[in-house]
Amino acid sequence: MKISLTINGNPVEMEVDGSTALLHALRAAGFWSVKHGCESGDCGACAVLLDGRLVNSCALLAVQAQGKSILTTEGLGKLAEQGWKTTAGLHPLQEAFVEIGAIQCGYCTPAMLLAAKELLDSKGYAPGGSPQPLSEREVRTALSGVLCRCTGYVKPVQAVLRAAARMRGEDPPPLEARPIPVDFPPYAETAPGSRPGSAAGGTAGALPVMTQTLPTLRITPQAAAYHSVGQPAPKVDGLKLVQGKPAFADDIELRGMLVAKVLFSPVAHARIKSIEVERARRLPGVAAVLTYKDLPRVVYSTAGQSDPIPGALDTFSLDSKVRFVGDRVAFVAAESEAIAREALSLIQVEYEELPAVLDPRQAMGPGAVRIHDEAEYVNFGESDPSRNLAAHLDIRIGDPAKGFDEAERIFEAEYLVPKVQQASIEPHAVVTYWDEDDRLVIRTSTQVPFHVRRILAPVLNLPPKRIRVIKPRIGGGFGGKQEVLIEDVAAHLTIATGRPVRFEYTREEEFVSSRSRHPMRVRMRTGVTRDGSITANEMYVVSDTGAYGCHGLTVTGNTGHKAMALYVGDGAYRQSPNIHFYADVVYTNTAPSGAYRGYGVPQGFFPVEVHMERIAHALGLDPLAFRLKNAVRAGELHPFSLAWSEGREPRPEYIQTCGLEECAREGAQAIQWEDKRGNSAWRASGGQPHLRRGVGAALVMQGTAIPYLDMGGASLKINDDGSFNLLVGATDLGTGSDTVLAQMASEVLGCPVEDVIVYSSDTDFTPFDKGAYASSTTYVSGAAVVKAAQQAADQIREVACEVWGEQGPPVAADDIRLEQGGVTAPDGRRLTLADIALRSLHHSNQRQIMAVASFMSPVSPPPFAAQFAEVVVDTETGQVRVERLVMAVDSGVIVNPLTASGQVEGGMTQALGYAVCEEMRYDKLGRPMVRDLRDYHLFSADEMPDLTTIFVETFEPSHPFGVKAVAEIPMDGVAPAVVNAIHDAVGVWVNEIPATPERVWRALRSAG
Amino acid sequence: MSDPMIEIVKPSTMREALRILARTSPRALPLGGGTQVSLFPTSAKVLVDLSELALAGIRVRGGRCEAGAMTTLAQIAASPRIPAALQAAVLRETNRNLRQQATLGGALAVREPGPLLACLLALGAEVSLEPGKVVEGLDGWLRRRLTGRKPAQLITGASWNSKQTLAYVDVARAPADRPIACVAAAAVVKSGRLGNVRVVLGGAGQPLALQLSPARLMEGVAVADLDRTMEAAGGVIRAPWVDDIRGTAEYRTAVAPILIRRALAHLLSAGA
Repeated sequence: MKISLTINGNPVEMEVDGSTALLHALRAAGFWSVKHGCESGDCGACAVLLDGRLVNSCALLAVQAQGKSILTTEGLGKLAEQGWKTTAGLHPLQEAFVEIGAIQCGYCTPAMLLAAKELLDSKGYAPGGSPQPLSEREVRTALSGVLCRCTGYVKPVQAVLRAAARMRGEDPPPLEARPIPVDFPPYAETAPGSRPGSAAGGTAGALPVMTQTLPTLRITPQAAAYHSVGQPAPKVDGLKLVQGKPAFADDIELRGMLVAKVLFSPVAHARIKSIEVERARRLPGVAAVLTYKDLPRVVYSTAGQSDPIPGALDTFSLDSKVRFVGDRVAFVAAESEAIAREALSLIQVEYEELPAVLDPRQAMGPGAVRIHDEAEYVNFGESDPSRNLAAHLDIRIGDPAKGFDEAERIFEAEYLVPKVQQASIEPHAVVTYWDEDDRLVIRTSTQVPFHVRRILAPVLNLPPKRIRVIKPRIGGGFGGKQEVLIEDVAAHLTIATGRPVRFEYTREEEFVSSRSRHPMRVRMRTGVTRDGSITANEMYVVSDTGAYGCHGLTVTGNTGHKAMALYVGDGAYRQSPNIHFYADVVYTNTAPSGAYRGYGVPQGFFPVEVHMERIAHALGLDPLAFRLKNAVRAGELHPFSLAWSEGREPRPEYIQTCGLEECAREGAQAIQWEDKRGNSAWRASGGQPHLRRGVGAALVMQGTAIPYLDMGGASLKINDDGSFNLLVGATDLGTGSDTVLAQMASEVLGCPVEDVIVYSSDTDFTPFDKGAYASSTTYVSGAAVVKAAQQAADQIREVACEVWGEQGPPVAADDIRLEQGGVTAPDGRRLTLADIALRSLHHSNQRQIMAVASFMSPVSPPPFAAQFAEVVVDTETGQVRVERLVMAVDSGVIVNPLTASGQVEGGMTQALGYAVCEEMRYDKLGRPMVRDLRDYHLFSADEMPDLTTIFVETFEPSHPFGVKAVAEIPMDGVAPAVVNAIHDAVGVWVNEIPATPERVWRALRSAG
Repeated sequence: MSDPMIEIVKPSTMREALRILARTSPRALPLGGGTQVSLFPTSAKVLVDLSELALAGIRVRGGRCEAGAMTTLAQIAASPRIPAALQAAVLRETNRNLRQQATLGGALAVREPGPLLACLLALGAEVSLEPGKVVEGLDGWLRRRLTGRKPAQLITGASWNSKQTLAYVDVARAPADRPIACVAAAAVVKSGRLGNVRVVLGGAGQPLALQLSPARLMEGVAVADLDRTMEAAGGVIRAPWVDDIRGTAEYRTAVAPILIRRALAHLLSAGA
């Protein structure tokens, strides 16, 4: 039927059928800013203003918009400069979102903008109105229907407040990094109350109105001289994202494009006895139905890692056996999604059900059913499918047995960490098509475009040279898109039909069939002397990899490699630590685990940091002092560097920089640690007799890239106007890596950041990069960019020498400075970069100023952090409310405090979910108990604790600008800090996360 | 697969709406906010858009609060005529955007248990139905399953005694998460004592359980009696809890008396 409505002020007629959701009608009409994130109205990415009211268009029929007026972000505002034409420009909200760094992946940004617009309109900010001041609470409430997995909401809230201030005619203060020189004494225990600012009374009540737009930044002397590095530059992709441009994988329409759907297994373990697809194939509108009988049988791994994959090969695109509820059974391509769904319903499958094993301890026990019995299985390391072992690790450093013999006390405990999902708001999405050269183009939401090409080539029976992978903007990944998860589905169907195919997971399919964090059962055993020196530390992990072993070895290896590396012991033990880490990575009949931000390390630090807290309490020691006494320090050998390296040859690695002690001190001061911890008066200040306050801490470390393995490339060329194209294979999945890479190039080339036009990534055009994972992009890809920029800078100096040599006294190239968009000679002569470009491209001795470089690091310098949590615990129900999180982090030099603090805020928020509510569980038949965001629960803007970020810079000498990683480490310490805070509040230990009310209640009950 | 050939009609009178809804072929369904119909495939061929029937609004008349079926949850949460506890419960029901779309009528029609229906049940709400201006107790409405073979009834609103005091308390994994368990309690508070007590247990996806026996023990209770009353009531609290991702039935059983006690304390405090 035809409906008439107004969209963005323009009358529109749409032909829709009665069951079409408004979301799909709008996207079909080209309003790509309206995003699909779920099908149940839970995420709000699809929100539009309908007659001025924010509604979720996925939960509204298109016909309900008949006669109404819709505003999408396309109608909010446009970049003013459009060549010879000028528009009214961006809306102040759009400008503020770019300026404040409120955008990370940008997928939810259009909906957030509209939510904010609705609020502003309701408060008199529409033309002709009388604007009323806004409170932070009002803004948070307005944004609360739009879930963001990236930002932690700090900067979006600030952006709305800032835009509102401007619209009221006020002039908010400019963004300025507020560096404080690094200068403080070492951490020392101080008596409660000895610090200024007593904590008595707590922080109960309304959320504070935040006025801080940048984190506290303690800057190194080396970084103080930089002009671009260290500045809060707006994101280079901010303008397109804030306008809702079609930047994402699914924001494309191709002639004749088919829709793909997958039939997923309803049973946890079975052989397919028969599969009948003829009725589906005969359904009008169906272009292809594929089963395992139709595809070449190629074993591979879906893990997006470098060659050779450090793990077993155990996966087929389609197989005659299913190994979990949600495993693939058949692919369908059809003219519409409705037809594809109906075709799925017509496929008849007869399963021969096999026993399903859901508990990894049972799976590796005698007599357990074998999950991988395929002949093609390719072992890696100590994988043993006959025992359902995807991997086994056993790492001994020093002499752990001797260390335990020497211990005066030994502490043992077991901890459980859950399976959780990355839950990026953009689901996995891919479009495939043959190009005019018969090359297969894969446009996909991936973190690893080059791995996608390499891994899929044999699966599709195509050489890599006939595959082109395009990575557009990514709506969040967090490791979930470090997986070659759905690209093969669309690719097989394009090969089968010759037509373009799009495939996108639904939210339920994400929960049922996608990857997630490995759940683990961890046993800790630690020997100490009475004065608190660790003599030996042991961790045994049972890691549940699910039905396939993707990332199983390396994720679990990192659990020990990072979390067990932090505490080496003191005195003689510091020189020769005794550490034992061993693990079994076990197949079960559940959805596969995989990569998720932190990559095994959060699973390790929860047990380590709760365990350390328990030991400190048992010994009567200050928990921070005990930790710092035993923690690794600058100048010391990374204890695991001689023992293990993600499946590669380990090599010795010394820690060059460590700001851990300063982080502990800064964080403790920010949360008023000494005043609050153990303070019974403060503890009881929750306002109700059954409420108790508590404060907890955790110290953590991560890594920066994988040494001798991770490599990134960069290509740089100058244009006529002195601007540069920077082509990188690095994958900005919302982290802001394109921006910090541009800043580093800008620093070397002496040009404005906006004169560096970044393109990432396309396997045809951009140099190789291993992709966005392991916290490596700023460090590895950034170093490649710096090298390329330095080469280009040398060429620029050569041209300047030529020019000045022709015009007067010659100038030595080494004496020429690149600054302020040009070059300057010691005698003051100056050329702009445009002068240089025109000379080199057109006028004389013509050549392209260009450079290509790559970087591979021999080290993985660890960032360090101290994380703190403040909680209120209900002693009767076990309910926990986290009121404040503080993170002080040493990530080396901070290239961009906006994007870096955004990483910390967003990471802390994900970690908060890990701590208190997020988990995926299965029923006794292996069926997922969580299938939507409503039951999974992501934190929304109106329920967030106060977040504080502090950067304590060190200068990492292995990088030209002294950087280390920042993206993953925020995941590591929140859960243990929260659980330690619960103990501080109510005196019980919670050994399993999330610390749900029931788990806390059980701990309280057990304690009597 | 849903049939794409769905017809949408927008009647301007109740009579016309009821006439269309009375059809058995093609089957017709009422369309309120659309949050349910758009999400789930329906066998209906006709959707009757109720937006022009003047069914939205909240008023207090004759000691009763009346809310129209097309009143959105956001309007309920914002109305000064609605008890604060009911507003708080509605905020727990779903997210802000959906509250701006979803209607009271939709919530009653779907019967999905949660904080809103728990509160309405505690308030002893009645559901208004057409044709015939039928009024049915919410308890009976929730227990009655629509078979589709009976003549269609259209929900036009709900009402309750506005002189009652309502309390709502819950426990949840996160501040804005749907509740693991919740308690809605309504009473008339006079001279610091409870009267006409109704207590309902619920939670996200949990069956609603009206606590008749415990409520009888709470009649006439004052603040000083709370501990003793709950000791007596604890043994007769019954709810068909089920295990789910948020918690176990055992946990819900354990915290229910705690939540009830808090709800009663709130009632007495609010009525003081």
